[in-house]
Amino acid sequence: MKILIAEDDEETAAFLTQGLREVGHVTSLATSGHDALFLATSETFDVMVLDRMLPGLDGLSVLKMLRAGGVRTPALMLTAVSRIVDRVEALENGADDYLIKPFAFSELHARLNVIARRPAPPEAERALSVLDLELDLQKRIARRSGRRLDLQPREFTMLEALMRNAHRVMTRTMLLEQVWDFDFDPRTNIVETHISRLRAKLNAGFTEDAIITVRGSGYMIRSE
Amino acid sequence: MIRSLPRSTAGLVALVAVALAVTTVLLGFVVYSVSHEALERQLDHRIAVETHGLLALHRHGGLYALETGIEQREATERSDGMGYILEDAQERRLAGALRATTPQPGWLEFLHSEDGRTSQALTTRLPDGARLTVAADRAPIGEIDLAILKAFGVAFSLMLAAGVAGAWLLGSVIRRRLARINAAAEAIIDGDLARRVPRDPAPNEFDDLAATLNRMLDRNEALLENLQQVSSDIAHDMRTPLARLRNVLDAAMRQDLGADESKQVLVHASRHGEDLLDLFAAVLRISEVESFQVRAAFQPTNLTEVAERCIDALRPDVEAGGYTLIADLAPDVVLDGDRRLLSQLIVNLIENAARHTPPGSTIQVRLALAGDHADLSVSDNGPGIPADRHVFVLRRFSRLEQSRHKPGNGLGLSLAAAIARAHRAELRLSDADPGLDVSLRLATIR
Repeated sequence: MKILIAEDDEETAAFLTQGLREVGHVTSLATSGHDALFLATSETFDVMVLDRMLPGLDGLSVLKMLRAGGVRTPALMLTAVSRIVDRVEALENGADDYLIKPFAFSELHARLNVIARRPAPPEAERALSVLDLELDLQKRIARRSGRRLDLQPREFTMLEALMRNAHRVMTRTMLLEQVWDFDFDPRTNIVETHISRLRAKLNAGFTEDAIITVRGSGYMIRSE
Repeated sequence: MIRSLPRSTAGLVALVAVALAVTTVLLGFVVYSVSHEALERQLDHRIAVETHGLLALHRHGGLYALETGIEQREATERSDGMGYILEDAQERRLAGALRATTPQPGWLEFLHSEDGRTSQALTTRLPDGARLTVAADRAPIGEIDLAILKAFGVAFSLMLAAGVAGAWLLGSVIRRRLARINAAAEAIIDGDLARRVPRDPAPNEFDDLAATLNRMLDRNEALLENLQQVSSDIAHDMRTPLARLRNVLDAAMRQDLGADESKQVLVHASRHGEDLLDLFAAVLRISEVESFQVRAAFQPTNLTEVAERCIDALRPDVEAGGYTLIADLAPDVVLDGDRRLLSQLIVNLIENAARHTPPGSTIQVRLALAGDHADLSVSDNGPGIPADRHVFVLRRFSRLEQSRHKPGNGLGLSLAAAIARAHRAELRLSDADPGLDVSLRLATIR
C-alpha cells in the first residue's frame, strides 16, 4: 500500500516509516500540516496516518480541508491526548479510526489494514461467507459447512467482525471496541476467553481451526 | 457613553445620589407648575364670578347700581385682595379705588397699580361704552410659589447631603469588607493556603460571598493536596517497574547472550515498559474524567444494557475463577451519561470484587429503579474492608497492605469514583456483612 504519514516528531516518524516499510508498504512523510495537505491532494494514497498536533496546520484541520475538497483517502488519526471529546471530534470530522499515543506498531498496522479496505456499508448486506462459514445477518444464524452453530449474541457479533475483516488481523482492542463497545482494556482476558469459547463452538466436529491466532497482534478468520 | 460611568462603589453611590437630587428638582418643578397653574385658574375663576355678579347689577339697575355695588364691595371685607375700576365712555372714573390706568378689554395677566402691587385683571366693555375692570391681587400666588420653592430647595439639599454621606458610608463599608477578602487572597498568594476569608457574624451578601469563596478555597486546597499526593505516589509507583527494567537491561548487558536469550530479555523489558504505560494511561484517564470535560459527550444511555454487556463480557472469566456472578437488573434504566465510562465503572467494580475475594465467593450486581434515580451496586461476600479504611481505598494508588502482592495499580476504585462523580453520583462503600458493597445513586431520565 502507499501510505502518507503526517508526523512532526522525528522519532515517531522514523518508527512508523521503518515499520511500515518492513512489512512491504511505500511511505511518504509530511512533517507539517501544509506538507500533508499538499501531498494528500497531489498524489493518491491508499491510506494516511495523521498526527493530531502538526506545526502550521493541525491534523484535524488538514483532515477537514481534505474531506471538504473531496479527498476520501481513509485516515487514521494519531493523538497524544486521550480526551474522549477529541476522539468524537476526529471521527465526526472524517477520520476513519483513532489511535492514542503511545501505541504498539501491530495495533497501528492492523487498523490501517482495516480502514484501507473498509468494505462498502453493510446495510444492504444479508449474508457473509468465508470458506465454509456462513452468516445470515438478518436471522442472526451462523453455519459451518451447512451445520448450524449455537452462538450467543456477542459470539455472533465477534464472528461477524472477524468475517467482515477476513485476510486482516483484528487486535484485542479492536475486538473490545467492536464487540463490547469498550474503549479501555479490562484486566480480565475477555477477548482471549470469548475467542476460545467461540473457537470451541466453531471447531466442534472439524479438524481445521477456523480462527488463526496471530501472536503478539490478534486474531484472523481462516480464509484459505 | 456607558464605559465612562464610574465603576467604584463611591462613584456609583454618588451617581445614585445625583440622580435622586435631579429627580427631586424635576418633581419640584412639576409640583410648582401644577400648583401655580391651579392658583392662576382659581384667581381667574374668582375674577370671572365677580365680573358676572357686577354685570348682573348693571343689567338690572344700570350704571348707578353698578357704582353702588362697587362702593359697597370696597367698603366690606368681601373685596379682600380685589380691586375695581369703572369708567364711562369718556374715560371718566365713576367708581373703584384701584389706582391704575384702565387696561384694554379682555384678560391682563399683570396689571401694575401705583401702590406697587401686581394684579390679574379682566376688563369688560359695557353696552353703553363704559368699561369695568375687576382685578385680583397676585400676591397669594407669589407667596405660595415661594413656599413650594423653599420646601423643594430644602428637600434637594437634604437629598444631596444624604446621597454624599451615603456614598461615603457605603463606600467605606464595602471597601472595608473587600479589603478583608483582598487581604485573605494576598495571604494565599503568598503561600498561606490555610487562610480563609473572615466571616460576618450576621448573614448578608458579603458573608455569602465569603462562604462561597471559602468553599472554593477548600476545594482548591483539597485538589492541591491530592495533586501532591498523586505526584509522590506516581513517582513511588513508577520507581519499581523502572528499577526492574534497568535491572533486566543491566544484567543483559553484562552477559554475552545468544539470540534467543536476547529476545527473551527484550520481551521482558518491553513488558515492564507496557506496565509503565498502563499506569500512565490510567492516571491520565482519571484526570480527564475528574476534569468533568467528559460531560460534554454525555447522551441518554441505557444503563441496563451497559451492565448486561459488562456482565456478559466478564462472566466466563469470573466463573472460571470459581466465583458466582449474579445479576439483578431493572429493565431499561436510562440516564444521561457516557456508556463507555459507565462500562468501565461496572467492569472495574466487578473485577475489584473478584480480585479481593477468595474463589468461591459470590459477586452480585444489582440495578434498581427508585423514582427518579437508579441504585447500582456491586457487592461480594468476601472478607470486606474495615469501615475506617473505606475512605482510604477510594484514594488513588491506595492499596491495603494485604493487597500489595496482588497485581493492579490501585487505580481501579479511584477511577470508578471519578466516573461516578462525573455522572454526579458518589461512590459509597459499605459493609455487606459479610463482604463489601460498593454502590452509587444515579439520576435517571424519563
